[in-house]
Amino acid sequence: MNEARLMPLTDEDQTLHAFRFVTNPSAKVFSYTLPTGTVHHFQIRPPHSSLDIISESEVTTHRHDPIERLANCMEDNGFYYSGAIWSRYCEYLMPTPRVQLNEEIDAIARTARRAAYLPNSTTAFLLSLNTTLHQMVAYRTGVTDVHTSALQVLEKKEGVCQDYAHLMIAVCRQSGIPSRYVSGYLYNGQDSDALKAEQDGHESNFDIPNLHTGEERFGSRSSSNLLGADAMHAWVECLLPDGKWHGFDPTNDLLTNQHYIKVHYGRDYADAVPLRGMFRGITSAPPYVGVSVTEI
Amino acid sequence: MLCRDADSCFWIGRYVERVEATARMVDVHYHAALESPIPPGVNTVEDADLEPIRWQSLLAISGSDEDFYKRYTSENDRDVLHFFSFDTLNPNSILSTWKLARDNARSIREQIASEMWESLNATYLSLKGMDADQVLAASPHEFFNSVKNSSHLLQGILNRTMLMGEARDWLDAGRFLERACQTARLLDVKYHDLLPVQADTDTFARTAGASAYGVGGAIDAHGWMAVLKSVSALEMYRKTHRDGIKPANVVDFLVLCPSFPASVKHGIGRVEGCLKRIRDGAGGKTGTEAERLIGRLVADLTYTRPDEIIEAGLHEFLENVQERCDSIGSAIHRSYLSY
Amino acid sequence: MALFDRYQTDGFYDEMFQPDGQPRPHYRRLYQRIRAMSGEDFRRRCQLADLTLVNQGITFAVYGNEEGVEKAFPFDLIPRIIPAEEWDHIELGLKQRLVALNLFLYDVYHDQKILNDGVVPRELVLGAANYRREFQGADPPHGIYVHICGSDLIRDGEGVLRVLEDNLRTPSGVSYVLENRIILTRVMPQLFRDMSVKPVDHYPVALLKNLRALAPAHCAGSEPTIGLLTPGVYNSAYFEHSFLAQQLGIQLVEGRDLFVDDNQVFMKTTRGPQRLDVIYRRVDDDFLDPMVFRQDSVLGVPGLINAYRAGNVALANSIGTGVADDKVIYAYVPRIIKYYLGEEAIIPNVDTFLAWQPSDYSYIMNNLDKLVIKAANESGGYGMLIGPQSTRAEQAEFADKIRANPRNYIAQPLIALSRSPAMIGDNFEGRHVDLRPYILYGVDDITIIPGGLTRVALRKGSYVVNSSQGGGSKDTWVLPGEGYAGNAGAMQKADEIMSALSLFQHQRQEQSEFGSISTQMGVQ
Repeated sequence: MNEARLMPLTDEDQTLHAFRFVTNPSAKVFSYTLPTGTVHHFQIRPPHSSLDIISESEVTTHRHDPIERLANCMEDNGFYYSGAIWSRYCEYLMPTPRVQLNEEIDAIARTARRAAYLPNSTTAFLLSLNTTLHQMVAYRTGVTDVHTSALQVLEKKEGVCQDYAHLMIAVCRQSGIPSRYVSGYLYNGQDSDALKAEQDGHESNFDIPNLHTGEERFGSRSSSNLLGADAMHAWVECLLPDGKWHGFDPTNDLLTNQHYIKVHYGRDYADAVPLRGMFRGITSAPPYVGVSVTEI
Repeated sequence: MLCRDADSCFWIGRYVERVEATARMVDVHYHAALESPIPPGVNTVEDADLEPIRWQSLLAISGSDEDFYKRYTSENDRDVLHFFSFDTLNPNSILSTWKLARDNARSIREQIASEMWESLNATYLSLKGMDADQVLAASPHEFFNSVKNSSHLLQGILNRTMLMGEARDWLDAGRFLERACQTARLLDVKYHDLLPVQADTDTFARTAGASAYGVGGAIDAHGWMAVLKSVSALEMYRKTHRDGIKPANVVDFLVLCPSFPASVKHGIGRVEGCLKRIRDGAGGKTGTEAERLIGRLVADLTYTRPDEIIEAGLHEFLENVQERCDSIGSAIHRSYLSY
Repeated sequence: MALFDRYQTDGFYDEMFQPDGQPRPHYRRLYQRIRAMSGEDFRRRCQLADLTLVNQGITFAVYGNEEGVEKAFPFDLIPRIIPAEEWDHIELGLKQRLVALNLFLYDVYHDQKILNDGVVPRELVLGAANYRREFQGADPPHGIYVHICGSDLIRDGEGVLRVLEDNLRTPSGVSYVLENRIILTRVMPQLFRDMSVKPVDHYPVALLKNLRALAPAHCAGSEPTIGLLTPGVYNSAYFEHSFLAQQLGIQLVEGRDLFVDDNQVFMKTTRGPQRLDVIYRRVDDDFLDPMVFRQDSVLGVPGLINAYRAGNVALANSIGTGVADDKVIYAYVPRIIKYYLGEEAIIPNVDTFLAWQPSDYSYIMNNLDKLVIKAANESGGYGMLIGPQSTRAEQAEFADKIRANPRNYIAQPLIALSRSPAMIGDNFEGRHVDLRPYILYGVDDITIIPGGLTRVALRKGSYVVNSSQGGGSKDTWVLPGEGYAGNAGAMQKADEIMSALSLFQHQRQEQSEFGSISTQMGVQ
């Protein structure tokens, strides 16, 4: 029994042209759509010694210059003080098991605020926070897992993309800025593979941060090597005073641009798990995960 | 029928039958020992003087001697009675086994007649309220009789109330498979008891087979009677074999006789019938491993002569039958009850 | 000395007696009949009833108690009587409430109008432990979320009936309603004579009708296969699960009996997989599907929720109904009724203070010794502080809990629950009672069986009626309105009732056998 959140969304920034989802051994694949993205699910009951899941998407991204967009909302104008923000976006302001709020989180907010190039501008604060977190946390695989919370990341000062995202979300929510977790693909200009371990014997559940092979095609320029591009990536979207969601990638200290392909979003990782499943039996090898994004 | 429900029925059948077998064995052993000039398993008068009742062979039949000696120092009447009847640490005690039957029934109450559940529950509650001292003070025979009667009452209720359908067939299948196993086992161990000590264990069956015809002493006849009594077979045996108690006849009656309800052949034949009916319902599974194993055992029991068994060695034969019963049990599980 | 001679109402509202010690009009006949019995006779009948309970194994499991795993739910023989006019009022009020709550559930899982309009704060709903975000936008069959509801009613010191809480997830106890009636007619048949007590035995029929009406489209008019999903034999309500499955003639299943293939649900039978169409589930959301909810659950069926979402199997109750019986949301139910139906609530709530609201918070913290504090999502009388009956240490413990998580706590004034006589030792004594009627929301209509379960706190002075906390139960009678009882044909009517009752018992016997028949048919 498996559930996949791997199909890119279609919104004003990107258009999904084609999506193919196949498994080997083959299975009948079902899907349903939530406001936050589409879920595919399937089940393979006969015993099998291996399982390949291949999803291929063809996407066009048509993003504007992110900096230009932010320029429109450098002023807060009391946006976050309105009670309507809380009542409308409370889902993205409340803590979750992975996004807990406390004093230390507040301390990061103060640091980022001091470093911001404009005072009293949430947008400037977020840009500064993006950089602060990028510098504060070292990118390292294998030290955290899918259950690691923002507070644990803060302790370790190292982690992977979802850890950066959770930490940034925590700081935003602590500061009253609605923010959400986004999972997706990142184009880094070359094909690559990655291996993520998450394994167990005997009748276990698994949550895999990413399990994806195949190709993403989209029209865009190539770019330099980016962290998180060889597996499924995660970043953050924050609600800015223009009333729109803007993407921040603290892992790479970048604003999301045409290289980011959005798949699913939610309150934290748990709402956007790329692949979740259960199996019965014993497994010897950890799941192998690879993502490749190619420009076409 | 749900696999889990069928499984529960099957095991209710087995457990209740197992309780009855335990009660019979302990009862007969206890009373045979009291009546016997020299108790079974005791070979000299001196031994008998030292210990009024020898319980070792009984502990051996039930396969629980190891468990017993782990927790008890000597096999006095009270401890043995407690061990077989009320010891909740002994999974094969009457109380433990009955509780298993009752717990299974509790999980399928909506499948069985409510009288069946009430009867299982009432017996459980009354067993829980008794202890070995009480039973010894009153009458052990009375107690074992009441346990046997509880099993019979349950079978009566089953016969009277349960629909002629799958649930009933599973209850019966469990009951008769267990009965066949128990009879084979009892005969095997008791027969071993009756052998002269000097018999070489490797060839004892052959020796016994040969010498048994010649043995006609009081002790021997007494021992065989106890075997027959323990499965309530003595009276019926006398009706079918009027020429006295001879080992080959006893084997014939307890193993091969199709019409005696506690014989191995009868039990296995009934299991075969149950599976056949289960199969005959629409969508039933055919040609299962369980059916194949049962069919083969039925054929063997039908076309074997008692003297052949004794020639070839009764112990080997009975051991083989017990192994095959176990395989049939597992095959039934694999074929019908878990997938 | 006659029974009741020493009975005291102690200043509480008594269901049976007026403050002057005279029986209330609707209890008068019962009072005379019980008075006519000797104490010895009454006690003998009590023993008879107890014996029946134990022998039939009408028991529930108590958690956190290794030894006494099963316990009989004590049954007090004095019935609780509700006069016709009052019952009409209750019935109307409960229907209103359930209609509004279903509309509320549909709304919060779809357009969220009530949240956008600010009638109920969004964070309370979305932040509720039992709000199932995963289920947003999914459409349960016929738009019904709650098919089976059990709302707890209490009567305060002034005699006003109020709703104390709603149970919209997997309410239990209805089997005791049916069994209590059967037992009472057996051990005290004379009480029923001439009373025209409204029958309750149509509950299984109505429930089955509603479940059949949920058959998914693929059944296309053919008989659906229906199962009752139980957590298993160790669940406290297992007796009820098995009893209802038998009464309804449906299959009792556990999670391990089921599997999902091709987005469809199957039962493992001895003749291979058989498709299951409708599930009356008595397993909480959390344990229903390890794929969606708690991953450590072994009770559930992986893939069940997706099969439900796709309309391949129906569930009653639906997913995520717990958000509407959250004790914080409870405080908003009168506003919810007003919002969707434009009506005032017919049965009022108990006044409720919400710890998450700053104004209420300080009031609660300053009055812990006077209030009843409840955790928002606990049930069965757990997670509760009864201020006036608590120690300082207990109050301090709750103060800490509230401080840590105000959203999770509410407070209510201690209501002096009405009392009813119960046999305690050799005498009748007043004990506090509540009432849980059972409401069935069908595709075409709402059915409420007359009466419901009267629970009684058997411990002296206790206000906690839950079975897990020393509670017992009573048979609950709804008497017919004017023109039924006491008229010229009353005797004839009584005879009809008596023969109907004996017929009912007879039928019940048959039904238990019928249960096996339908099982057999189910697998063909």
